Amino acid sequence: MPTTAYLLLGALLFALGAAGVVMRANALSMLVSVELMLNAVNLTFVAAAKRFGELDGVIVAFFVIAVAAAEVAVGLAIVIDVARRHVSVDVDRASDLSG
Amino acid sequence: MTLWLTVLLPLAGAALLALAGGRLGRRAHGVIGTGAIALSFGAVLSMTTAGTGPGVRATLGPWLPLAGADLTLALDRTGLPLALMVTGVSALIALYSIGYLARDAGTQRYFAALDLFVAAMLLIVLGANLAILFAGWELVGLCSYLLIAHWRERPAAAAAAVKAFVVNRVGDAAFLIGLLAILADRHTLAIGSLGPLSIAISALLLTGAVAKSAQLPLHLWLPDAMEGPTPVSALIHAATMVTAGVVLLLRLGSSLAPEVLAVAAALGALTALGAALVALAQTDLKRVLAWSTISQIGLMFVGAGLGAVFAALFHLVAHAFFKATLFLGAGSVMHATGDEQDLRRLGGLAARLRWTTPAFAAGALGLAALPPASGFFSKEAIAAAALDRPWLLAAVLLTGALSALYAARLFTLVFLAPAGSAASAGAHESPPSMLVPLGALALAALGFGALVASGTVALGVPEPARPPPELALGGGLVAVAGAALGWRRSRSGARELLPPALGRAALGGFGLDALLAGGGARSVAAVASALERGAEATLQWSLDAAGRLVTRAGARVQRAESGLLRSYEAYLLAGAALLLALWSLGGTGSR
Repeated sequence: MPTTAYLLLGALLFALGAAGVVMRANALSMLVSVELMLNAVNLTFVAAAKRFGELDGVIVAFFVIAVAAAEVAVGLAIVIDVARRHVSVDVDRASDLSG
Repeated sequence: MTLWLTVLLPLAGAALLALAGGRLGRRAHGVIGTGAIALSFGAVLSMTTAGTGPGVRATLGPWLPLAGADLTLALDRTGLPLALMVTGVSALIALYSIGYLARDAGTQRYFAALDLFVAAMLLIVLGANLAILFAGWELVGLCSYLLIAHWRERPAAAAAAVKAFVVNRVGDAAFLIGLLAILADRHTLAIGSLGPLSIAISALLLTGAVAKSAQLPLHLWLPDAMEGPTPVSALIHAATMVTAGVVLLLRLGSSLAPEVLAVAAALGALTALGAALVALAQTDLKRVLAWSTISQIGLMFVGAGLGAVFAALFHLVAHAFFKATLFLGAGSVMHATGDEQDLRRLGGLAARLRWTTPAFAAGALGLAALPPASGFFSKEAIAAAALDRPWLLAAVLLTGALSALYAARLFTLVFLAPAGSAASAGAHESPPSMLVPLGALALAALGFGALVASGTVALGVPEPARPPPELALGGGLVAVAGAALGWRRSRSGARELLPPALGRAALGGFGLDALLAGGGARSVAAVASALERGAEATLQWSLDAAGRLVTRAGARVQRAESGLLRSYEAYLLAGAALLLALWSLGGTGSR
């Protein structure tokens, strides 16, 4: 399979994730979308590592996975707090910082 | 180098008094102040022979980076008698001031300003180029301000000083513009190499001279300048200030446009006549003298405007002697009567002031142009210069008659008429330190004219052909008639000489002061306040508009702050996309 196919798939996944983040109002859906974006990037890194025959991309992908785990932990904590305050996980209700 | 000493000595005196005067006593102030001027007089005196010959030039070094604007002084035939007069009369006035201000607390600044005044006037008389002359010109204005406001706690003195300074600024501004125009046109400021000047430039220079010499219509400051100490009046009127305009006309003389010189002569005649009428109506001892100065300077303008250098110079020096005598005499009278200067309350002082009376009489004789006083000869010289201009001649002769009239009135009211108040009755003679300079000036006022007319003392400038004896006879008769009339009307104590309506009009200077200082100043103030209001409104509006603009822009920006997490994410993505687009478009090009 050519590298271009991986890259196209990565871009598609990233765009889907970004659209999900912007369009879904459910905080949990947004977290899932963020995961999708992170893994789209991971796919791109790994594809690049395979293409150039080096391990750098793979190493970065491992880092991203590790950071994503931490991100999910913090993100879920925030979601739980939002749910307690607003009796909902709808992020549009959490607009206390409106100017 | 001696030439520069004449200026530097008084300057050093002023600096010494200003810097170290606080540690010295009043007597030391007076001695330093007087000594510096006296030494300067000696320096001028030592150059008498050289000054009458080809003249002396001395350069101290370069000054302004302009052509002909070096620190150069020049003593020539016109400058020598002027420099002698300025330093000599000023030294006597300074000596007189020691006694006059014996109980004054401000002698340090008084004598410092006095010395600076003399140095400044010498710059005007001796400066070899217009840059130095202008520096002196401005310094003279400054010193007059400082000295008129000597008694600074008096509101009237402060107001008079400001008035003198501001009115002089009008002329100074015109002078400065003229100076710059000369620089642009001739590329030099050296007085000898100016060549004929255009009418516009000449008119600007004349405006400067008119303001400094208190001629119509910029004469307003001089009568008010009486608020200063009397020796200051003597200095301003006789030696160092008002004659500066005449000196300027004399020094530039042939360079000025003939049309402008004719205007100067006409203006001088008008001023001489008008001011003489006003002097006739004044009820204040010093104000009579102030208006008489304006009138006499008017006569000098007639002489200078007609190109009669000898006549103008002669009258300038003679006037300096008799006017200084009169002012110092007036100071002595005020000293004797506890600062009384109202003619309606003075009187009968002849019996009490045995020395002041003859001295004042000598000055009054000069002012009245009665032979053999010096005023007689100098006024005759001016009349002779105006011989072929009937109008000017008539104005000069009429001014002569009026001068005799008010001089006789003044002397009669102060010294001969019955005493008008207790202060006059209890008068006491001044101390010798005041009487000695007064006497010396009185002798000069009495004898100077005859000495020049007989050829014993040469003025440096060649004397024109003798005027016909009829003129001298006529002038003398006019003066005698005027003086006799003044004496007859005033000896019984009658204070008014003019018909009441004319007297009232003349007392206020024919309303010119009210018109110019009142109306003119008011309209200028109105324009200024309108401009101020306009500027304020514009500023206010523009600040408001800027404020409104920022508020509106803020409201727009505020709408973006929705608090919605997803809109922020959209901004983030849009920004990232934009950066990516910029990078891919621009980045490929640069690579």
